[in-house]
Amino acid sequence: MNRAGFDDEILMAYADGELDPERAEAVAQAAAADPHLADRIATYRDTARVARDAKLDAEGDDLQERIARLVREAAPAPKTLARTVDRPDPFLPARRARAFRQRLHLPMAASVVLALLVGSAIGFGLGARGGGEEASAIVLAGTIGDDLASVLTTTPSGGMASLADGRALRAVATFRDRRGDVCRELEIDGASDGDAVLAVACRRDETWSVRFSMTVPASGAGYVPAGSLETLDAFLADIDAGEPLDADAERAALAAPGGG
Amino acid sequence: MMPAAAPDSTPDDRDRFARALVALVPNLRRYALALCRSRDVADDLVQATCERALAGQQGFEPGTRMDAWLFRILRNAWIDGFRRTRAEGVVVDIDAASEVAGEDRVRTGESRLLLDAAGRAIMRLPEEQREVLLLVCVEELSYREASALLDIPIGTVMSRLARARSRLADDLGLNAAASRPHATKEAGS
Repeated sequence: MNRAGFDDEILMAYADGELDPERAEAVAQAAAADPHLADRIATYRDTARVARDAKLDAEGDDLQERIARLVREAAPAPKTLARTVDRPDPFLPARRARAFRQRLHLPMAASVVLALLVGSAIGFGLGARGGGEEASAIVLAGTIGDDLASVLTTTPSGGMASLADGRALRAVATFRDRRGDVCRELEIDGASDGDAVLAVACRRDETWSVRFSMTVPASGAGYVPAGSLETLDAFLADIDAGEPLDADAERAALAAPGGG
Repeated sequence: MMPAAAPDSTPDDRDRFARALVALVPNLRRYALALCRSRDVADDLVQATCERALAGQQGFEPGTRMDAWLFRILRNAWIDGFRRTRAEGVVVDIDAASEVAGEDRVRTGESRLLLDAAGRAIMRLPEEQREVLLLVCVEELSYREASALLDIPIGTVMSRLARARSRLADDLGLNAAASRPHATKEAGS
């Protein structure tokens, strides 16, 4: 079947528009002078068209509907708004900053997909948006002593540390605010009363200070009530909290002197 | 370690992702059928693919072809598990059926596929050829995209595709040459 140096694959590639212009031109000229060659090319075009139009049972009965349902139901909302304090996976910080606020604007399907992302702390670069005052929905605030500061710089997100008073600190996530200060979201479990503290501490000029904290009643099983997260989310939105840093970026940011 | 997501991903992107995923279900099913030739297995395969895609959404690079990304997930799911549970029976049934003159439908293990003549001819192709034909001619992946998806050289994509189309043309009487007076087959030259 070979003719004039054009094998089947070259003719097919020509029919499919996959040849570089130079070789395509050579094939076109040869085909113009050779009806047999032209027919072989036409056959490749025909087979492509027939395949494209073939009925291949693509729809199924209700598959698409089932998948749409799957997308909607993939992550039930309540679970995504509460988080477990003792998550086992150290690489999955418990919550993505600003997720809640974004959810408010989303249609259902997107919310569900987004909900899947809550907990995986993937960076979706929300760049700093200009200046403005540092907001502070502060219940308790102040600079932090050396001991706690060292805990903040060494505990990876997802990790736990014991504080001097016996309480357990859990590092949730690390991010930067609009000024580029490195901030850490924390949960501190009460030693006895079961209450927990949600806090955000940020570092500037090598000094850590608490910029947000609130006491929340523990609701059992290590879950923080969803409502308190709304308050935290509002704070994070106010300071233009960037997305949580991944493990490598976090290590680098925490190690960098002077707030990185 | 956590993969970093594309920096420009936005809620709109994620909404688009969800909608695009659902919209691509027929394409996924078509590819799944080309691999397994069974409605039930294809549906399970598509569902498993969508679950993996949702869980691994950050692995998708916006701006690249989402269908190719999903096909790869689907193919991996097929190779990882589905194929093993299905290796026997069905393929033999179909190959046997293709030998029967006048066979009206391609039989599968559990059910019949809704195919027209072209669909039946495609389903009768050897798996390797069927898969490439589907990806390039039906899903319109470039040779390069198909090569990347299948982890095979472009030359292999082309040879499989050319053989698939020759066979399809023979099966369906598509040889343009045969219908033209001047086109008597030449043995040599």
